[in-house]
Amino acid sequence: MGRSAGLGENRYPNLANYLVLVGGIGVAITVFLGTFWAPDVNPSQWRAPEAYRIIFLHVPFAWTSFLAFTVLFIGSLGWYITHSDKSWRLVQTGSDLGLLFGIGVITSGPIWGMAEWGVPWDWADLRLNTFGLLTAIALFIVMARRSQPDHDSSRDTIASAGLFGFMLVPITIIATTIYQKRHPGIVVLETEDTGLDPQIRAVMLLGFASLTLLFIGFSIISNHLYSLEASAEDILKDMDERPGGE
Amino acid sequence: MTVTGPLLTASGVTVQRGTRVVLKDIDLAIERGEIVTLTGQNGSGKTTLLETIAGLHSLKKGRVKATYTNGNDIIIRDLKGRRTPAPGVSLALQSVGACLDESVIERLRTASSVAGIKIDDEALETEMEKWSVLHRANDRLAILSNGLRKRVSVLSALLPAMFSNHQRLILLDEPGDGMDDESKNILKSSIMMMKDSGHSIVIVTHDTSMVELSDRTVALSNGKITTSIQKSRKPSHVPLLDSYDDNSGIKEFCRWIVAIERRNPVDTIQRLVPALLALFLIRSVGLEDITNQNTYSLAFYLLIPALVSVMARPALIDRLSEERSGDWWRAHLGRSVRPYATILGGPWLLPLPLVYLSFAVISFNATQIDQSAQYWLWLPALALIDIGIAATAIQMLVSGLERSGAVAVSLMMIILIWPFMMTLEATALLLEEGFQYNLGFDTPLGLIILSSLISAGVWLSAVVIPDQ
Repeated sequence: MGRSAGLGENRYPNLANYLVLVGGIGVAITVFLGTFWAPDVNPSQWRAPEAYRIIFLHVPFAWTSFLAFTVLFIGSLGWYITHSDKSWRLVQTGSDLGLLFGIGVITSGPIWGMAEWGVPWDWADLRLNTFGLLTAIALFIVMARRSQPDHDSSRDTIASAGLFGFMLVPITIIATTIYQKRHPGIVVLETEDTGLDPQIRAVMLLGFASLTLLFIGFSIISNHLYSLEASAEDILKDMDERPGGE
Repeated sequence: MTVTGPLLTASGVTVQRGTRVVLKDIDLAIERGEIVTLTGQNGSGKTTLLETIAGLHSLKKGRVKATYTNGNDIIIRDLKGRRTPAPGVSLALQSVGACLDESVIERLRTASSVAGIKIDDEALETEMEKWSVLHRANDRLAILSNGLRKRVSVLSALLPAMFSNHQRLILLDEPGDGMDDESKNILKSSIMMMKDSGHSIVIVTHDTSMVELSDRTVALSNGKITTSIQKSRKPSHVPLLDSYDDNSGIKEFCRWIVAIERRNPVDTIQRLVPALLALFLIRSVGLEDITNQNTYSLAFYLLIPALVSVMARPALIDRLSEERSGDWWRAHLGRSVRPYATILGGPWLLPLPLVYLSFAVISFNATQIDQSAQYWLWLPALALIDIGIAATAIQMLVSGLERSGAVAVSLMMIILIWPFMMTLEATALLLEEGFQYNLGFDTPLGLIILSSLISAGVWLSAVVIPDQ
């Protein structure tokens, strides 16, 4: 089966631990700088100028969810074509992290939307809706993985759900484009004609880098854990087939 | 042209369930006119092998192929997934393989029609009499004992071969299970008759008397063939099928869906009741509160009962999962089952009357409505039917999971918010301005077409990808 890790090895690779530690500290610094150091935006252009600070987490969350959903898509396609364990681990990792970071996007977005637009959800916002849809699919996949017997046929259906989610993205684009006329009109990255304030850009880049490190660290850990889980399952199956057991 | 060689071949077949390999590198060829018994301990892989031959399991390695008259190989299943239904194959699963709302005679006729075999009433009654099920001909399978159900299931697999002039392959999983001695004797004599007629049979069994009938006994252990004992065998000269036409099977499947719903209209009722409840709840809010609002809100209240009806879980899903009825259909019709089931299992009947009923109940004294609107409300009803078919496809996709009740299908249904919102906007425009004959994203017709296209896209995504 070509398992990459044995049960007797370290729990997580050291690199992953460092990445998660550095990423976590980076996120904490991002939150601190975003709250206390980043300048205010022009109140005349914003209904809730203070609420904009949520972008320091919201946008990097969107970036890392995008990465996770891409991993999910590649894994689903890979499983569909090759039925390899490696592809299946990508489905596992992509759906777990897609759910984690996707929840970050779809909870922080409506908080800002409520303050700025006066409504928590905008059906015309492509990014919000795409991430909402893909997060729902990721939740479905996580629930299905945990609840279903681990058969090839279950994996087929679950990987199909991953592909199904991505096939719906163009539909979401068409639908939200048509509803664009109902968009509130204020888009967060287009507030300044000259671009973003350098301090805002610096904090946001720090947020991007920190969450990317967290994403890579979590991906390595997740992949490692699922390899160990598969090895443990093999051992348990061998034990099941021993005579004399109950 | 004389075709030699096996009727069906499984080459290097490996089937995996999770991390466990259930079948390992199985090579098995079923010769024409041969009776093969598969034996082994529980869990050795006998049933999985039989069902793999029928194309029901995805393969980790290898392929299963069949042969036609012209000598061409037909791939039934390979690494790329399900291809063609096995030609000339009849299957009796370990369970009944039928919805228990079917009557005995209906099940037997269905199995014969799917195989493309027409049997006259007298001949069918003779066989039913022989198998002691004639007295139950018009009874539903639900009220029969397990032994009688088994008899019907096995007879339905044997019947097409009994009346066929071409070579057929009969797959029987534990056919004697639950049968009394007399029934087992009938079964054995029927198998011998099939053998004399030159048909091939594969039997999964623990019964030694059944093993004695066979030309070859294949023993399995831990997913591998351990022994294969061949006896002398008379070669068959029954001609192979010229071609395989699955249209008759698909027509039969469509007829079956409608017939079962007519007999026991669970689907209609479980869609209708929540819709009427929603309508009564809306009505109880107070008509003045609703009719005094803008047309967008009015359209929303008008469409909600029909929306509730189209989003309900289709009864067909439960019918196909009952006694593995869906697997029986999949074995005989292949990948066609899912698209046809999602279309025919959709909510065809209710959206139209529900939209007009809601209109009559909610909008009769609304003053801001265009007078011609009522003549065009069938348009949003059609769009709701499309949404319902897409919802059925999503429900079918999720029902493919072994424990489909343990996951939240609503998470996959979120996408349907968009076709509904477009239908809603189209209805609001209809109520406000009446129908316009021009197309565009701000006209009722344009929005309805777009809504239906989005529903069709969702349906395609849910139906085309998953059926490997």
